[in-house]
Amino acid sequence: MKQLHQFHHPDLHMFVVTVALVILGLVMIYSSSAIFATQQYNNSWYFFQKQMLWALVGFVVFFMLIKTDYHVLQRYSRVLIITSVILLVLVLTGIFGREIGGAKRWISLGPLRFQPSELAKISLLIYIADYLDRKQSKMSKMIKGVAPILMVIGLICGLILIEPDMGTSVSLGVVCLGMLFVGGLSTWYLVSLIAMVIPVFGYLVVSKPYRMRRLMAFFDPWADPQNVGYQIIQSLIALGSGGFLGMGLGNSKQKLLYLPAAHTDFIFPIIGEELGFIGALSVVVLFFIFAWRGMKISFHAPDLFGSMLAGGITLMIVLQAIINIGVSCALFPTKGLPLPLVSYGGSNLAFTLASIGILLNISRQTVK
Amino acid sequence: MSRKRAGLVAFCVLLLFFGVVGRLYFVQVLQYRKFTGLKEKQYIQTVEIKPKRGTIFDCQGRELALSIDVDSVCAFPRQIENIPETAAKLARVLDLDQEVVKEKLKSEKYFVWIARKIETEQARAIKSYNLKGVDFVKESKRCYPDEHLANQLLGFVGIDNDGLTGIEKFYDGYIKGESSFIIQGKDAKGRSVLNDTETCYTSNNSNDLILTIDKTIQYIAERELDAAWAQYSGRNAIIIVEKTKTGEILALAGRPTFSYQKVKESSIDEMRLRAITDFYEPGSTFKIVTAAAALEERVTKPEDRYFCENGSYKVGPTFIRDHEKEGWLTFAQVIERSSNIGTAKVADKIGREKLYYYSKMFGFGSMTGIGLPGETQGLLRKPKDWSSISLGRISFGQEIGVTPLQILNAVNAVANGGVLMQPMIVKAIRNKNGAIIKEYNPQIVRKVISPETAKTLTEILKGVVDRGTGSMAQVKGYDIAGKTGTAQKIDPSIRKYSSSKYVASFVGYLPADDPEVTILVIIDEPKEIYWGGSVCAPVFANVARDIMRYLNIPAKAPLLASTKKI
Repeated sequence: MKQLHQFHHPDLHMFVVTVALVILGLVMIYSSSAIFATQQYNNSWYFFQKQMLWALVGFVVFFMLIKTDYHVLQRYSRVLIITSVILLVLVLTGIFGREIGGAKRWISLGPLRFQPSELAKISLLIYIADYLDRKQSKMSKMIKGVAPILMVIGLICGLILIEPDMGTSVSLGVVCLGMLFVGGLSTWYLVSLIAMVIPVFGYLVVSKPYRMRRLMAFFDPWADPQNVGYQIIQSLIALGSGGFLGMGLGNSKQKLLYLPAAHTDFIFPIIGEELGFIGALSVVVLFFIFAWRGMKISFHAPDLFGSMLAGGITLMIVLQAIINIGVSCALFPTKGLPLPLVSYGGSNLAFTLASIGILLNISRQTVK
Repeated sequence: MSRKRAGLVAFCVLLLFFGVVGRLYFVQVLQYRKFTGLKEKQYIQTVEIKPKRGTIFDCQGRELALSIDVDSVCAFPRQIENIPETAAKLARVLDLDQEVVKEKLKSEKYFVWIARKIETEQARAIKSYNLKGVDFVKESKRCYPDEHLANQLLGFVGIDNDGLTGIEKFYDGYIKGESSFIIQGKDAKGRSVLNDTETCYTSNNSNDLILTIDKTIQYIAERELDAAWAQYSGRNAIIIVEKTKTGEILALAGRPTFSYQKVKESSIDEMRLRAITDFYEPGSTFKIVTAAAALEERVTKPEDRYFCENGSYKVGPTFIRDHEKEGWLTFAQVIERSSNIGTAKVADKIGREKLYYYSKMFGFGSMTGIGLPGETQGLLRKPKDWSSISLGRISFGQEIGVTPLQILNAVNAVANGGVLMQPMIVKAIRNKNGAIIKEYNPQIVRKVISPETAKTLTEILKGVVDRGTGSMAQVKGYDIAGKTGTAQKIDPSIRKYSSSKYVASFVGYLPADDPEVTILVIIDEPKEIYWGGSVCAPVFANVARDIMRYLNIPAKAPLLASTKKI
């Protein structure tokens, strides 16, 4: 089946966009966290330095994966998915886990912390691409085609969901469904699947008061501006007061502890405040270029595995970006999702860079 | 892979992109003003710096009221770590209710006052605890170095240093000054952002006040007033001392008064400056006005004789009575012995219009304009509103309402050779740099009677003290001109003059031939004795004696000669 292609240059647009977003992220992390970091750690560069370290690690992996033929991943897809499940279970047991803010999402290895869900995300995308590649003809059959892969998706998403990390779980689920849809899942199955999933999520939202409050705050943040609505309102104030041209780099007021998580999940409003609509639009445009190039790579991948994997990775990253930006301007309810490549968060940055590395390797083998 | 389906997914993503961009445009560009306003509301804080109130000096530059910096305790509730412990400590030191303090510390507010203007030792104790979220603000506190001196006149200020009564109120615009403002950014925990601070200073704009009051004379007046008050009590008592030739008020005191320690528990009655806010029927002291009119109009001479009807004289439907039965008296004797009947007979010669005219000229029926809050013009009816008995009654001080300051100032005009002076309480207003920004000079209101008339009247008034009703006002070594007053009060229950309630008064000036000061003493409803000559004249004498000594006014030659013999 597999045949070796002529390797050519990776997609330059995507490469530039990726590097640009990481640099913008580093600058904005420093700008938004310097005051907080000074107060907390007496070192205004604290978060910048940590992110810088992870970026270096991430770029090493990034370049290694650009060089590595992505077909190798297909061989390890089962190993990866099993490792992910083990780690996700481990993190839940709490043996290596670090509980932060009531959520068990992290595993600590010495000074480093990483989220197993990051590994699980890319592993699942690889596994689905591989599965679709192998069972291409059986996707219209329930038992032999659709059911097994749905169970794997359900397992992974379920494990992430009970960490709890609903944002990651839902976005990953949507991406997986998108891949199955493109990969040939019959519309009937898809519709019935969605019909089954919606009540489950409805229950999940109602069952946790904080999710309910977040949802209510989304509909009317001003009803309770001191508590749940606070973050949304502060986010809107940051964006709105930025105006067309922004207040200038470093001049945000909202980062003076008004906007919680200003360097992590809510870094985008600070960009909007300091760099204005122009700056915010630039970020959106960068992700748009990313989506366009990713789609192009997917369309011209040499085989179905590459095509599905490229599409999955692209959709994953772009969807997270849109959700993050949408949350910051109150288009969607609050989800704990970072802005890929930009937000502070080491393991997310490293795994995102790794995923793009894979994507760029696929781009080296495109045919046309 | 289905290209159609991939295209559909791509289209959905494209829609999301458009949605996000549209939403960003809406929030960032179209709602820019709204969110900028919200941001400023939470980011900008304005801190008001209260000005330091100006000092009030007496005429010799001694402080009567001044402001000092003291600590006020405030708290930033969001920064407090242990509320119960902090509340307990604060409540103990400040002697406050622990629960009340705890409620304040639990507040949602960014800033709360715990206690304003506390004692130095309390501040030191709280500082030693080093409580997080508890801070101090320097505020200025009004101090009155002599706690019981001229309280009603000076008045007092509220917690925010606004003048509420007396001079503090009337001259508030000059001595209060304007606030400065610090406009600064603050972070979400309320800490100020130092590189984003703008200060609007309106520096040094509170002024000092220099009064005409002389602290020593005020002290003499207060001391004698206290003594009289202790002896006679009554409803109220007043002493005013005026500098004859300038109209400057040297002392002004009233009883009952309030204590600066217990301002909150004081009644309005204790705060009122009765010398200008209340009017009363002056009684016999008003005979000075009648006499001045008669002499100036030449309707009588001091030696002209009048029959005093042996103490009872029917005018129209009512009787005028004297306190002593008198027969024939010279006009001078009528005043000396304070005969109502004799005075009324003289008034008949003066006539309504003239008596009204002189009353008006002496300043009755209009405000003196001394510059103190709440002054009243008294009550002086027009002649056309007088009844058939009004002329006689007014001539000896009934049916007319005068303020203590009005009667004092009218008599002062006689003392001053017939020239009515503008009574004044403020000498100058000085800014913080020491420059006089407003100066009040003695001002002649008008010439009321001729110097000759004034001299003749003074001779008569000397007789009052030498051998008449005012003999207890004598001060060794000084000629004193004066007049007693014992005014019956209207009893509201019977709508007639009461036979038991009197206003006793004495007004006079010395040295009679070249007066330095004019002094009025009033005791309203004194107990047991009610004669102005018995109650108020001795008080006058004590005040006058000490003022003469204080001002180094030489005594008469004969006395000097006699002392030299010793």
